[in-house]
Amino acid sequence: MSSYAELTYLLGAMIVFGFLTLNTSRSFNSSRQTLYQAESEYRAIAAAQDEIDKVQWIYDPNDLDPSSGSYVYTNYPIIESVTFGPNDEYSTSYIINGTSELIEDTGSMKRFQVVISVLDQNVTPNVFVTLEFIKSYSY
Amino acid sequence: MNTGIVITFVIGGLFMISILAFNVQVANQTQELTLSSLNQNTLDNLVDVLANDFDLIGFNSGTSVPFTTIQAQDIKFQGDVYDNDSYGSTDIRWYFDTNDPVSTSSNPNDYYLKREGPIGTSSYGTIEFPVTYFNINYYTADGTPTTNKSSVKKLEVELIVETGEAYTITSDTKEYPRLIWKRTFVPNNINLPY
Repeated sequence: MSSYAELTYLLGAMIVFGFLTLNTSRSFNSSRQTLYQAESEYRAIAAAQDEIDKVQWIYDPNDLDPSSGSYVYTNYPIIESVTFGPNDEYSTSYIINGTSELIEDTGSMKRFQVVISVLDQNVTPNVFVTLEFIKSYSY
Repeated sequence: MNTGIVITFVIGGLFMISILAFNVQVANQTQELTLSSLNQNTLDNLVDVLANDFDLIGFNSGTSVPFTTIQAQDIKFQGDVYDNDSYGSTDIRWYFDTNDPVSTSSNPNDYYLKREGPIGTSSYGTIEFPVTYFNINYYTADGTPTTNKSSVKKLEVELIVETGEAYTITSDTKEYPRLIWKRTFVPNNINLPY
């Protein structure tokens, strides 16, 4: 009878130990996932900033007017592949969308609100970043 | 020989091995997470300084061509990068010094990325960041690569930062957590309609 009790204790200990390892692994996995998310988000913000930087040197207000034929975001959203590393050995891709809206026209000044959003589907849950930029033109 | 004791030793031994393996695993994962977090902070600090300088390329320099050097791992330009110092527009240089490996870390791949420029209200000097890779590509406004200083309108900067210390996967395999960052700068002051 005594040996059965020891066997039961051992089984119980092994089950408890199994749960402990599972929970610890889940916890580490979750932390690692958070780190990957943060890294992905950091790069997605850089990609969005790239687009915002491009907007800064758009000189023609028509390029930001959705009703104009020269609207820069006509073909958006786009999929942009980015390579990294000395020999471009790493790569990732983002879905980048851009929209522009005329929010003010005083007769002497036009003001556009540009919204850039970047979606990274390579991580779960997906990383989504949105940056806004106000661009003014006097005329 | 008592069979019961032998079986107990075998099961106990297996259990002990499991606990030790688990302990090693926890230690490795903790190392990896800690090193990765530290690495993200390091990269964040570096990017803060770098983005500030590169966004202000040419600011207050009075010229549309503020560059002195444009090489893949060495750039020197003029700019007034900090308002509250005694300097106006001054030379700023960022270069990846592959002759100067980081001696205080065990990582054989990291070298100093150095920034020469104002480092205080009235002091000029060099600050160093340990990085594994630094590269700049220069582009014209339409995205064509260029080596002509007067044509540069965009700069694509790429950084790879690895931790100074490794975490151990096996006794022979060491891993250095790595972070990669890339951004294209379109500085206002070299894109003005002169």
